[in-house]
Amino acid sequence: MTKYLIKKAGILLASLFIISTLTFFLMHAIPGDPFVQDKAIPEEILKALHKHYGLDQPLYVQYAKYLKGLITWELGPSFKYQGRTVNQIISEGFPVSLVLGVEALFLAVCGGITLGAIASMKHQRWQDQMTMVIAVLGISVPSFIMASFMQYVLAMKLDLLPVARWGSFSQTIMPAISLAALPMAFIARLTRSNMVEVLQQDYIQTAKAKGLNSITILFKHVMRNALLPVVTYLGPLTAAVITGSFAIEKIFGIPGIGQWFVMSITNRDYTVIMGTTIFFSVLLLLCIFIVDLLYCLVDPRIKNPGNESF
Amino acid sequence: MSISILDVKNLNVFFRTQRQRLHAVRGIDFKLHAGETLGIVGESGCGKSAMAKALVQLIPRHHADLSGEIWYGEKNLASYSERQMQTVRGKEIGMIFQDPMTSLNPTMRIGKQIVEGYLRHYPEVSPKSAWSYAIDMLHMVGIPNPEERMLDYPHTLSGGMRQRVMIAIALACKPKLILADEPTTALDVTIQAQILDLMKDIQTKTQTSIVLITHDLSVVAKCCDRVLVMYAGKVVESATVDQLFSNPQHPYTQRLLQAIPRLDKCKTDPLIPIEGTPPNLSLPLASCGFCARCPFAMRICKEQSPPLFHLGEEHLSACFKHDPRMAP
Amino acid sequence: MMEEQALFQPLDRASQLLVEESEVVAPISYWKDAWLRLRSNRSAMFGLITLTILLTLAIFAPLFSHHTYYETQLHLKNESPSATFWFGTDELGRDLFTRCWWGARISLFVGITASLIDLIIGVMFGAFAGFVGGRTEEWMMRIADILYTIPYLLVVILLMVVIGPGIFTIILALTLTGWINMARIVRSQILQLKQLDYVKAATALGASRSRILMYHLIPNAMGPIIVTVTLTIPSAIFAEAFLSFLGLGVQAPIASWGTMANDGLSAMRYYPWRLFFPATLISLTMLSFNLLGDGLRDAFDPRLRR
Repeated sequence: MTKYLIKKAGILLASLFIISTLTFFLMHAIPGDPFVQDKAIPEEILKALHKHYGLDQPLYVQYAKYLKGLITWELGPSFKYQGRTVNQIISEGFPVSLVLGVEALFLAVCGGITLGAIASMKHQRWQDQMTMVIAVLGISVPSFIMASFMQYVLAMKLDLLPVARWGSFSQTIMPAISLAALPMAFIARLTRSNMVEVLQQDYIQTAKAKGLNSITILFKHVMRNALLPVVTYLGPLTAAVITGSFAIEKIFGIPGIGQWFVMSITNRDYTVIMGTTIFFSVLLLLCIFIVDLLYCLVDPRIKNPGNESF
Repeated sequence: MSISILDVKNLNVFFRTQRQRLHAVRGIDFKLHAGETLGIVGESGCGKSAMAKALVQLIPRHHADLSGEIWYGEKNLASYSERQMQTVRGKEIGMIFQDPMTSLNPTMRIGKQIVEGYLRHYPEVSPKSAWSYAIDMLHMVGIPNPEERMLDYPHTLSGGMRQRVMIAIALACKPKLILADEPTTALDVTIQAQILDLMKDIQTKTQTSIVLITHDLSVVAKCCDRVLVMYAGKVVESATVDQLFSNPQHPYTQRLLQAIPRLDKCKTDPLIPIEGTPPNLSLPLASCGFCARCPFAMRICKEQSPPLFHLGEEHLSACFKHDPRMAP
Repeated sequence: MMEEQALFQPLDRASQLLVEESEVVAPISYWKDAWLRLRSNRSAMFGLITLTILLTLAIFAPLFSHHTYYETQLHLKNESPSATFWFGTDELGRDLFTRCWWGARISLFVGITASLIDLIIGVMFGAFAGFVGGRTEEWMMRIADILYTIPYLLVVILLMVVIGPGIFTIILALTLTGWINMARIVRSQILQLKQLDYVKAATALGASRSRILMYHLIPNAMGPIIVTVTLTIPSAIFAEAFLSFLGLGVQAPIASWGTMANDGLSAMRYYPWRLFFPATLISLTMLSFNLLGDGLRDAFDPRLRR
């Protein structure tokens, strides 16, 4: 088991390194100057700005400084918003996005598993068909479209929910639902197909032959085996929630990191772009690692391979 | 005359597939006596597994229709609801399945898999005593170090060991009857012999009746007291083991025995297969199912289905050659 | 009595065989079986038909329209749908109907091209890795694993920031890491197929490695490959729409569904049709591809073979 985890950790660290390097060189490949945007700035001031932000140093020096900053978690100042550091921006925006993200995750996992379980048990009957129609819609309708649509109908037309902004619980409902729609649909489909497969396995027949009732069989035999693959999906799930948040936070005017990220792109605020990208990557890779750990604990075949004799 | 534990009358199983209705078991009657091992022999697709599962209603209701009577003592199992069957399965009738590699839950410890069935039927027993009882069961089926094995997962055990665990699970609630569906087919020949010896041993100790389903006549010869030969969903011959091997009457049985390669014959002698294939069970069969492949087929065989003719003590054969109307 | 005795006479065999042969059902080929299964799947057929209609309209509607996608007529801005403007106009007075079908062209073009490029790179990488095996495969898959962990959309966004907007830059950004999924699937298929007996037989008969790859392995892996391509297209369309929505997509006056949705969002309260039409078209297209892809997956699934 330890070997497995070390291998996984190695892959993740390598990814992180590649992302950081990639981000750095990409940002420096952008043509133009970060300070020359709207108005013309006199030469000396430009030079002073460059010196102040260390942009006059050779590239490899800047890179080394950047890596050092990453390890010590000092992500530098924002170019656009004078006096604010990237760390500040992240620590302000992250709690907001975290709440939204956790709500969406919770909704996606619970809703998805329930829908998938119902569909698999009523295999081929109307409950199955209906849940799968809902699921395919969840996958097909882009989250930002669903969000816009909900905003229009539920908030603007029917006045059932607040249109935008952040603060109260009801303001979290529409964003969370639109963020959760895609992952929930995915989990529903995954759960359903896994459960259908598990229900056909021989050991379920053995369980029935022992005289166990359906509920016991469902929870003690089916669930654990069917949900294992769902655990591995949690990694990509986090990624989907993170990227989804860019659009959702924009639509609902939520002051989370996603929105900062999008704004920094529009503003070409490079340090913020880099910092938030790294932050997202670290977050994602951490989640993936935790998921791998979880999977390890839950699947006994990985925990102790033993002697798989035949 | 010993008591019959199981009395099956006119059992029919119809499978409902997307396009057709498959008549897999066609009106089977038989009795199982206490303490005996009844073998059910037939080729793949003859309906023997379907029949075994039908006895405990293990075929989902939306897949198949059952008709007939299954008398277990005073109760007709065919009329039981799913709830009622759950009290019978495991406790009165235990089952052993064919493939030990897939018949155990891979994410549940062995001990738990034995104990859960036991506690379901005897909830008044404490988990601790159930656990030590399970250890005794593992010991009885010949698994070394049973205390440690209890905590293992199935993937750490070999096929033969897993089948022993299956037997332990089946015996745990001390059922009166065990249905063994091809218990040794998936195992090596040497392990096969061990498992069969184990089953015989247990039967002597516990006096459980066993229905042993197999396609292998040598298994039948080794273990069974009486045999039913099935073909195309019907019983074509019913006899004691001695009668079957010394005096097979039905043409199908005769050909089966002829087809077995023998060590005492010349190596260059050709093998004698049975030509042709079994009939299509989705079509109604008014004739004898074997008549297309039978060397003794008569005109009546194509037009009517032969009933089981009594040939003497315990020996029945469904062939028109036994028909008293035939000219001598 | 005589009739009865006649019944016990031996059976005439010749007539027997004719009856039996007619009962044998002719087997059908793998592809025909898959096509039949697909045809009987109603939602997959719905997807296929819808896509055909969308594709036809995307090609022909702009050709026959009386309006262009870039002509601005400010006095006609924000008109609701009418006889002249079937989908209404946007804030610069441009005909939304024509723009929508131009957008269709863009989205479909980006989606299909990106998926095909992913297909080619992915198949080459995956087939090579799976076939060659050994340490080469190990290292190739390790690289793939690392690249796979990098969040796809993040990279795409960053690339777009650097390279700048435009259709071909979008396709480049999408395909730079998008091929990995296809590579993994192809590799696992090749690994499975390599074990099959007929491949070993072909090797034993002296077939060269490239011949085995081209004639035996890849054609038999086509099923999952086709399914993956069909399901990659909607995710590429989504990615393009998402980018455009964030302002990183194609530039004005070119219309893509994503940019139109972005425009429509700000005007949603008063001119909802500006969001409604592109939004519906995106969703419908993605839905159709997903339904078709699901149907194809079921059609090619060997376990469901009748």
